[in-house]
Amino acid sequence: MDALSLSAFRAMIAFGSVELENHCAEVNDLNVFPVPDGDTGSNMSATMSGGVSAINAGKDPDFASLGRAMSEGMLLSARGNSGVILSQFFAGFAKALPAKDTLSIQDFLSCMGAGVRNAYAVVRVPVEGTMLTVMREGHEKAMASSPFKDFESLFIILLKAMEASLEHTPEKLSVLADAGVVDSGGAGFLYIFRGMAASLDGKSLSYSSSSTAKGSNPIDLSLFNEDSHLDYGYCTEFLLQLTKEKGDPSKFPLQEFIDFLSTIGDSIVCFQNGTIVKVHVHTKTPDKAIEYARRYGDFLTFKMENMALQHNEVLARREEKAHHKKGHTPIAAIAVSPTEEISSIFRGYGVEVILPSNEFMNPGADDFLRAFDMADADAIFVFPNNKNEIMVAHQAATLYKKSWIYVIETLDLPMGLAAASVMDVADLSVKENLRRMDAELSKAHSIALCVAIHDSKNNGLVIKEGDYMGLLDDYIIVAAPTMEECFEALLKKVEGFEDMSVITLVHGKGVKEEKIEKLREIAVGLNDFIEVYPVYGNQTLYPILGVLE
Amino acid sequence: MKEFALLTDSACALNKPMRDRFGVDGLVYGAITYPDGTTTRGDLEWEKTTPEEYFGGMASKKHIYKTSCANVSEIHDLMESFAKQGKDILMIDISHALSGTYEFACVAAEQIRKEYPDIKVRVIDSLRYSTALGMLVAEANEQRKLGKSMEEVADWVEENKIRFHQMGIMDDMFFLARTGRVSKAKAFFGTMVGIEPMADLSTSGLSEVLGKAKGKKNALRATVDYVKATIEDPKEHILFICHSIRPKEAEYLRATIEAEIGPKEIIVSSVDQFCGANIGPGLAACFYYGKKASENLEEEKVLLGNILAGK
Repeated sequence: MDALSLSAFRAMIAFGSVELENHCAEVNDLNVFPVPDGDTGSNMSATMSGGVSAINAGKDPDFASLGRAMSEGMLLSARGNSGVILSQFFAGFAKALPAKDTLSIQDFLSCMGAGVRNAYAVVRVPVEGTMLTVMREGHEKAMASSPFKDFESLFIILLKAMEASLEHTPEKLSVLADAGVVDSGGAGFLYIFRGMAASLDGKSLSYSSSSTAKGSNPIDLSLFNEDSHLDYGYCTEFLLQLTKEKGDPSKFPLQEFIDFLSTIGDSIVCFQNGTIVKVHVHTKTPDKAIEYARRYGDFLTFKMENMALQHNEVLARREEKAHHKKGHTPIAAIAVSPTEEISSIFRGYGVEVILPSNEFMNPGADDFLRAFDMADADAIFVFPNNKNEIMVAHQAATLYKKSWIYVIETLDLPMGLAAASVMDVADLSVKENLRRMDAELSKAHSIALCVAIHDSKNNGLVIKEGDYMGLLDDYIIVAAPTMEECFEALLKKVEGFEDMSVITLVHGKGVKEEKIEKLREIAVGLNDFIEVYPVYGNQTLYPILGVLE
Repeated sequence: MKEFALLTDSACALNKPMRDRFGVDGLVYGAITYPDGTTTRGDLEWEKTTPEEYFGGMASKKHIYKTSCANVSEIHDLMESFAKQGKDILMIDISHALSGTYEFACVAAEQIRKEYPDIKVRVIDSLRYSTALGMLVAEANEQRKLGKSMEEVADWVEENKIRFHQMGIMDDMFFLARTGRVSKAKAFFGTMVGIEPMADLSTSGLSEVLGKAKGKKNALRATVDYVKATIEDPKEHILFICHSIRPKEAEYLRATIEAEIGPKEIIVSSVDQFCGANIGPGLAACFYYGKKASENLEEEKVLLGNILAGK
């Protein structure tokens, strides 16, 4: 193939998305060091899906138009640091796409160059040994080896260069070497390009049935019982194999199907590749979707869940219910929070809109946009509470024109709580609030304790599986076999601890009261002036989170 | 000079010995309804229960006590008992923003004026509550001892009532917010973890949060600094410290104020049941005579802001 048609490009993107999805868990696992918050695969997957959905309807007349749709779809779905960088790569790529209906190899390489430049531009401090390196070195090698006689040859060189680049990422980033892993974002990017290459072979899409792309959300069956009424419907997902015995698969009316789905439900994702159609829809009448689909084929996979049980749905609805009454105010605040309990703490401080997050899914730009609408204020403070979410929040802020958005750069949850605690949206001006929050973030420290899930070395520390690791301002500085020893060692390393006056200690799921008492005694033992305010956060990832000031 | 009776209501938080000492001639009692539904006349002597029991029950937010103020006829009867003696009447009541007592007292006063045309009656909305009200009554008594007439004392009270301040810590605004007794209802009156809201009494008769301190110790220190900056003639006036089961905090305030301000006298007492039902446990505050409160407490907000910022 020496030129890509619009449909070939669509297939390429879909293949790239699927290949990544098939290896999502593996990519997530690479991101497991030093703390198991690995979500690179899930985040990049969500980003790709957004792009695929945006272009699958097949309406764009040329590449430039298709590029715009794809770019917007990815920008809105982007989640996490890796998701955002990926979306920016494709945004740059898309902007360079020409207003024609075929794409030459030369065009493709120019667009890729534009994508690499755009991705680098969006990261404030580009770090080598990450996805950025993999995409750059792949492109550089391809440019050096061009011209190519066909896309197949281009991709052979691209993939080889990216693989080599990925292999060398631990040499560039020591934290990867210590953990014995390659960079997760780079790995995800490589899978996407592998998928894109596979589309050239005319192979059909193959979905790995064991992929746990989105992770499993906790399910509480009691949320829907004998007294319940179906308010929300079913989250329905399937792969439909179009069959010749039922009709001509090449004549499958995809757009009509999409139109039909929108009459019975929403949150529709539907795209076709070859003779397989992937469908995702939220509907109260899944039987109608099944019946329609079965006119054209039969299912390869089928998944259906009562949305009353889906944890995230529950949280999201709770938020909407709690806040639909909020009227317009001069200032409002939004915080990303992993549990209902921590959300209550934020609400206690004056935050009115909560964006739920958990280990598997972080809010994307589109979630932030919805939250901005709910906040309904002239000025909105955003507490992303995670370094990856900061980028997503900024991305969403550039897309929102109705209010002034102030992203308070809270790198973690404790810093989010610290900043929110000094906020006063009722009585103080935006300027004064920002000044106070800034002062608070400069002086407060965040601490966290978590359990090591495998042996490793970090900063000269030898960490054994099962040890408690103590983090100060997001750096692991101590490790010890028990929570108490770790906490004590951590506080001892905090400069100026003897002059501090308050610790807010957020304890997670399973941490007992007696343990908190012991931690309090340890703190008071080191500084008898200090006050400890424990509060239950019910978080799972870090048993202990805290603010020191 | 014609004698006059100095009356108030049970929100003054003064027990019998203090009422005798400060010249309170009579007061009306409100009623308290307990969670089990029984209603009794509240008591200022803490004879039927203890502060630990009363406020302890509220701590878990399980016991919510309801208060109701004295009715018109109760106030009328109290006034009448003095009118019959030929005495003028000056009644100083809890802030109209916190209770209906003042309005009822005005109605009772009208009735007395009609029934006893020779008797002068003045009812004053103190814009204050608890010990701040009690102090105001005590100061009115001091004015009376100087030989002033009822009208002169009443005028003095009207003129100076906004000199009576409150400042201290409050662990949880839940009870005040629940019954609408805090000005400018803010969206976040839940528990602000690790934060002590600090409130003074406004010129409209409500508690108004002026600032938030991180941690109790910072709040208590800021309290002392605020009192220092707003108190007047400490050697001539008593300073009250009132708390709802926070004896350690009250003691800190007492000792520090004694050392750094040295008022004429410091009296530490428990928040009474009537105000307490709407305040809940967790208050430790100073009530004192100071500068006149500024409009909307604007100056005081800036002052506390500066104190908390370490300026």
